[in-house]
Amino acid sequence: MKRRTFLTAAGAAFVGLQIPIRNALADDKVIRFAMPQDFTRVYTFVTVEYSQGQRDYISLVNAKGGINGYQIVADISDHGNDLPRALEAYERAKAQGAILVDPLSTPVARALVQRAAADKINLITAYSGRSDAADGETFPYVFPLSPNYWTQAGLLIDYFRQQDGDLKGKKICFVHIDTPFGKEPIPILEALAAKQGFSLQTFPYTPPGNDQSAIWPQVRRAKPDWVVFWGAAVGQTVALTEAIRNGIPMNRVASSVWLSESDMDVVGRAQATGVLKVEPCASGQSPKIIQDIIKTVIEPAKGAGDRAKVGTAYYNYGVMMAALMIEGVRKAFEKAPNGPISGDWLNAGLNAISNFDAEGLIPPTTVTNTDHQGGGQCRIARWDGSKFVPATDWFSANQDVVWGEIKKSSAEYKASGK
Amino acid sequence: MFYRRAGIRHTSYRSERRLWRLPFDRGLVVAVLIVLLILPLVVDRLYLVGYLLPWVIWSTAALGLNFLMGGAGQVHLGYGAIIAIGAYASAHAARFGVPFEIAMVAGGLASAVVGSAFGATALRVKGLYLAMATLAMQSIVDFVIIHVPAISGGGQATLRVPPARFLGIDLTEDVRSYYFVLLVGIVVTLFVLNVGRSSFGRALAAVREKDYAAAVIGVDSFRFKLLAFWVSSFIGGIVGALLAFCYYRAISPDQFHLDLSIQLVAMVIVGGLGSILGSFFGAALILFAPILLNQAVGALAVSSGLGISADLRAHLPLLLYGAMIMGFLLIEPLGLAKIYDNIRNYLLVWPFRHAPR
Amino acid sequence: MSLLTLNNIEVVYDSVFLAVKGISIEVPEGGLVALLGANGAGKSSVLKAISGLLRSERGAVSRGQATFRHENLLALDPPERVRRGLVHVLEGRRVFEHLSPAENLLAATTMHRDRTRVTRRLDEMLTLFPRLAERANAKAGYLSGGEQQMLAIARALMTEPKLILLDEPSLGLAPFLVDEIFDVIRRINAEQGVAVLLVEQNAVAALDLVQSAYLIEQGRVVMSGSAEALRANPDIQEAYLAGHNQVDYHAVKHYRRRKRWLA
Repeated sequence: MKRRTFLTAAGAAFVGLQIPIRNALADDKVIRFAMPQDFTRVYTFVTVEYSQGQRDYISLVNAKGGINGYQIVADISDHGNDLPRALEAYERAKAQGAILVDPLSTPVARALVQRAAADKINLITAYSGRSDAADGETFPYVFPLSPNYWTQAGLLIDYFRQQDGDLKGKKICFVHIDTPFGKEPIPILEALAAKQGFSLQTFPYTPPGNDQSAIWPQVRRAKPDWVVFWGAAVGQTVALTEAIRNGIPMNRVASSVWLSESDMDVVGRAQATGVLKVEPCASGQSPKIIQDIIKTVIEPAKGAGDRAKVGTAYYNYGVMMAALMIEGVRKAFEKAPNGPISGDWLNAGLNAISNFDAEGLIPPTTVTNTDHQGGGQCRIARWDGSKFVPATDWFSANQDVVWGEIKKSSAEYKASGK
Repeated sequence: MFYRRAGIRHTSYRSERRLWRLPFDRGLVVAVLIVLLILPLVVDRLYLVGYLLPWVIWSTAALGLNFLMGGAGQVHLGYGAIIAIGAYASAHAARFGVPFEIAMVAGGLASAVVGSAFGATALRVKGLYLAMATLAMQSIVDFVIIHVPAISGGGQATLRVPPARFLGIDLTEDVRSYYFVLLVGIVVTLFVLNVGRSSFGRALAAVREKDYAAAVIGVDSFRFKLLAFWVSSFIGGIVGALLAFCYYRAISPDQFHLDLSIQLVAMVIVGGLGSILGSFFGAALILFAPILLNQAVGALAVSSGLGISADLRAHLPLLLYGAMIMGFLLIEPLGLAKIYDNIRNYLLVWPFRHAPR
Repeated sequence: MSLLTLNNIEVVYDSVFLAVKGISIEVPEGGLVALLGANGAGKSSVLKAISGLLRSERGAVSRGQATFRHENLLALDPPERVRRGLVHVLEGRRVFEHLSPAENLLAATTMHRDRTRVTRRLDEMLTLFPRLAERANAKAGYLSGGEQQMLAIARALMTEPKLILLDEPSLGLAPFLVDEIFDVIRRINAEQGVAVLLVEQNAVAALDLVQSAYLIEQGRVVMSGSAEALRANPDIQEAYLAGHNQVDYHAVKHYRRRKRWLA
């Protein structure tokens, strides 16, 4: 009979779970964002801090009275990078009336592109998803709102050019994870190599990259002028450790946005001194917006997570994305103060973001109907042993090459659905 | 008590050979079928797309794998790759303008050919070694898909499938997709049910139980293992086509990684090795337990007002999920289907406690 | 003074199928008792209930008590029962095929810490079964059927049991070998004082060997008594000792005697 009790309980639990979903719809004066993200599988290295930043910023906005009297509700859930779960979360968000979804996962973002377009729900694909989604004409409902990997590669090459004056005859090694994500920057690098006359050597390592010991001696033997390593999570720290072990000078090594303070803890804060990364927004606690969060949210103990994480690189990415989303809401109210609040309505707002710098946290960002990347500005930062310090001012570079690739790829998508 | 019988009494071979021999079972099957047919018209789209559709697709996949693992006793850790082959073959065929009906069968055939080719090499080995061989197959197929842009769809590695029409019916709409998927699921289920009582099914059972004993009674065990791989891979390929055309609508390599294979093996084992009903139960548990537990923990965190950290909130459901699977397997090592069977047996002999042997 | 007592034991397989319907059995200290009965009568289930091996076959003792040397047997798990001096020789031998006979024997001594005692016991077994000594270094899987059966019995004896449960030791053996095995059983019982509970199809041989026996049919004890009494019973003679008395078939009307205990 225990078994029957158990079954009854399970059934009751199932039915009980379904009720709260319906209730939420009744609230008014609420703008609903859905953040089904991967807290448990592949993107664990970033999601916790990223989500914490997002929630703290949204708490800040709500504490100040919301936007136009509307509170922002962010539904956080875990999709575990598993598509059926992500699709369920997406449909649930849609049923609840969410007008924006931020899945922070490349496979999930790719799977949602068509659905989001059909359902007119704004899909945020910061640092994930398709790089060609920067093309707002082809992907009207997809918003990377952040420099894509092509832009990041272009920026790094331009920084190298600034340092060396000219890249003619130089050698750049590109060490990358052997997945579509890792191979993504190669067309840009090849185009720039042809244009600027440097030679490019690529070294793929097998995913997930916890053993790269065979690759890095080859890199050392190639005697590169610059090394770019491209991966995520464990691949990044292993790459950096191997680079140090092989005696490659740290100030000639660079990577994408995927380097954080906790990676440096793994590698060794002192040994990694000098390594370069692309910074889409300021890191640390000094930006005004982070100070506001600390004063209004963290100190009254309303923070979403560990206080020590406030101001880390990935935390600030989260704040950056939330700030851009909310700026979109603000612009949407400017355009149509009376709504009705819908995906369409927010879409117009997001496309109207202009010259927004989140009080100095991010470079001046302008989103238009055609450019969903937001201008492609970043800065290069250098690890000084305890924090990332900017090595350049905000700048954008090689956007002609990047947009050539974006247009080529989005045209192919339009024509063939690839 | 519902069954109203005392021992199976049949007056003809025909009645004994029926698929469902008890009137109550027949009634139950019809009732479930009617519910499945009516549900999409009643429930919200969320439940259709989020639950029903993936459940039927994954159950069909689990049936295909269970046919091989439970029916013929061959471990397969690369079923995700089989599904991938079906998905990509059918998607590419459809992109070349082949009608969906044929593209789907082509997907099935492609999977069957590749799957049984690997099966043939893998069949020289047994048990754990076979598991490793199929695991290798998974890696090889993953590698080929990712590294051949012509298959994966170039730099973005995403392939959008063209809208499907089945016998003139447009399948891009979710309710129709669901009915089509259900139709395929029913066909596969009936097929697998009927194999069980054919000579093919009996030969497979013999091979599963002891392959040299099967050889002694004139069953060519190699041939039947290969046939099992062929049939199972064909079903996998069809499921791949369903996934591509009726559910994902855009496919990329990471949808078919080892994770999917492991998930399917878990479905088969938790549901019940060799049990058809178990495939449905297993798919439901493995697919939905994480989602529901996540919501339960989330709702609990919100309503209790406790400051559960995001990290714990995300990992607690996983912990519970693991505990749940272990719990079910401890209660009944033969899987969920056996739990159902125990209840059914209990009711079959009710009001008595035991059946005479 | 009884060593093992089963009282109204009921065995259910798969929570549904009732295989043993309340059996009560007694084995005296140093006794030699047989369980007789047709195939599927439930004899092996009774043995497994005693040794605790039902679980792996989805069976369970659902009712009744079992005591072994004044201790509740059902509360102990199988290895613990062996430590208490109760050992089961399974039907169909089940030797460790890839080990040599000597290794097979040593495998059964995990509960003994005293190495000299183990060596002494091993020597005893090899003297009791000289055939095993001859083939001590072959692989057990390559032994003949009779040798494997001897090995299984010897392995069980290595645990220094008080009671040994033997499930069809004569299965598939030539009559000559059956005699040899039965001779060994008699010797273990007489020389070492080990009680034996024997399950046998070969009722003639069994009734010659044992002191008392139980007849099991369809999961119930239908007759019990001393070996002489059972041998003398006409029902037993007809059903199990077929043709023990010479019958003039020309003289009898041809009918099959009805087993009187069947309802």
